[in-house]
Amino acid sequence: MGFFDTRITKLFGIQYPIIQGGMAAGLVSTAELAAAVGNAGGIGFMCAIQWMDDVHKLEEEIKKIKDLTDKPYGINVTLFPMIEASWFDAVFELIKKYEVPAIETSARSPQPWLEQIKGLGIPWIHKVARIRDGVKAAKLGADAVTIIGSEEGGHPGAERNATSVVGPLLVDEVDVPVAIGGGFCDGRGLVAVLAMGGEAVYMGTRFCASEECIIHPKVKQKLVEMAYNETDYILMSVGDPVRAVRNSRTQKILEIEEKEGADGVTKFMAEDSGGLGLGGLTAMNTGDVEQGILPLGMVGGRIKEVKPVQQIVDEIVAEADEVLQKLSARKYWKA
Amino acid sequence: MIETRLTKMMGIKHPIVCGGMMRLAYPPLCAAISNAGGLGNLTSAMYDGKESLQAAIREVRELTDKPFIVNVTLLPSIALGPEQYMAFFDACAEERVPAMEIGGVPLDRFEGGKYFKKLKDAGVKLFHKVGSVKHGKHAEEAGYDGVIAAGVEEGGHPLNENVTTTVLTPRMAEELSIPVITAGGMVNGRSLAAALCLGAEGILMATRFINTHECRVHDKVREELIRRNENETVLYGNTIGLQGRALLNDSIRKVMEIESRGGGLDEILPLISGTYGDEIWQKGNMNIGLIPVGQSIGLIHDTVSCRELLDRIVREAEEVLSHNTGRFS
Repeated sequence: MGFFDTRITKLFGIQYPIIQGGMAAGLVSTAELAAAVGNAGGIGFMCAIQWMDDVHKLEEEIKKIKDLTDKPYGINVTLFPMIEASWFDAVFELIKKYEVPAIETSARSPQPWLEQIKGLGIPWIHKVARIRDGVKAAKLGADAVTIIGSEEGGHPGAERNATSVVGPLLVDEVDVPVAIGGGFCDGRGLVAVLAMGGEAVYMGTRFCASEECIIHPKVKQKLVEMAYNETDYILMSVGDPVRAVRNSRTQKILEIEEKEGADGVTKFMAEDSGGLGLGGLTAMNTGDVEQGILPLGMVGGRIKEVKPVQQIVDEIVAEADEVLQKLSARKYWKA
Repeated sequence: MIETRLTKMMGIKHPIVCGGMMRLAYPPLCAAISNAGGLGNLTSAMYDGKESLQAAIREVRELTDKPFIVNVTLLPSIALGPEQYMAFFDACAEERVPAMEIGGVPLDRFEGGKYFKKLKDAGVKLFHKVGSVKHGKHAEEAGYDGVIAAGVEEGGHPLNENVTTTVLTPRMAEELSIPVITAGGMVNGRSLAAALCLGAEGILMATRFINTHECRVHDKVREELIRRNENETVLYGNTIGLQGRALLNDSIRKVMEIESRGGGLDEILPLISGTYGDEIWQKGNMNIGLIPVGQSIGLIHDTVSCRELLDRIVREAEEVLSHNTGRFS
């Protein structure tokens, strides 16, 4: 059994500095995926808002993951302000009741929930897209911070800052360990993150193309076939941009944004969801790859195969080691 | 010492190249970077023809005996016609410059490939700056010696496919056999180390070199770049067919406003015209015109000499790489 120690592996008690982040677009980051990542030596987060309609389903999911692994895992709590406080309270209760090993927060400042989060007494990582949010999270007491660049799928933030810049920059700005995501899928990505000063690589899209991920086979097919320059950055006009695989729906949305601006696209999204729920995001589970929104990152264009999570992690670790050894063997530098 | 295919090919000490910079990449800066072990850049578009560019090349050679690179950006330009480009290529071939950085139209497609051949015959190493794998493959097939993979985070004119360095560099490296140089977001030793990990043989920086003592700009320019953050550049120009990234200032705000209401080139051009050059760079007025810097400004915290900058970058890269090697057990 191998390992690569960083402050983040020590924080979570895991072997490798590899994080499967919480993803919600219909059902994506479930117990099967997070357990598989944990069993392979990283840590996976189940996104609680996937079960926003019924918190008991989250409880069932927690029970399920306890059967699937005895390794660390976590729950992502997406701090959307429109969600009722009672739902958050229920989620925090479940985390306590089942002694969930770790928590990831994201989307908004954790300040309103600070007491509850800290009261859990478990490792806490907060995910941000902007440097100032990362600095704030560290000040508020997060044990670690994840920063993601604009290349990531889903919600990469409105500032459009690339991983190559915000990764090393947040490392400079905070004392807590930093995980870096956006654009990574392999061992090269892991060692690039370590080179930037990051202490874990953060990946979403790579784990979507795994056998254990619950998303529809047609979406996985689309993922392994997409090119690296085939994502769109939609809904910038409404201030909450999403990166998604280019398809008829993202092109339509961009067209409406250009012609009719924020009001036009808001109206369109409300009235026409392509026959799908969650504004088109349920396509991740229904497999409607043209009519839905598939929030995957640019790096989908580097992923060629759906694999078991264990193999994905093993290959990342082997390649990371190999890349460094090769650089070293070529006498890139004097030790 | 970080030795790569790039350092060996060019006979340079460090795998660090300076990118083309209008009104900045003059002979003294070019030579200072080359003397510091990198590959300094002489940007041709600042000269009006063959003789003046030749004179500048000779000036570089008086200041350094080390290799350097000449930039020619083949864009459908308002200021430059094909005759001027031909004059630049003739100057570079006759002077047998060590290397050229070509941007825009691939040189093999300019004037039937005549100048591509002429420069290769003169022993000039040719690097093409590209933002997509398709263009990189074309460069390799055409016989270029290397490609510069420019992520969308770079200043100047990133390709409107908007692919970032973390994805573009490894994607390029896995498709091409000629060396890949990473541009976009490159600024310090950790950038260099990360680029090498992603499969690059070196990095190209431009913005970072503005904050060196040898770059002849007003101190206010350097102070402003230190003060401004990574989120203070914007992409503009998509409505006029040429995307650019520039520092957010009054002029660019107006450009964005004109673009959002469908205004055209006639309205935009006066705001971004090169005539502001001296006002910006020599007087330090950063609120007018177009200042084509990259997101890397967020990571620029000081002004140092070129030698100190390059030594520091390589030292830091060596440290992080050797720190991580062998730690997988």
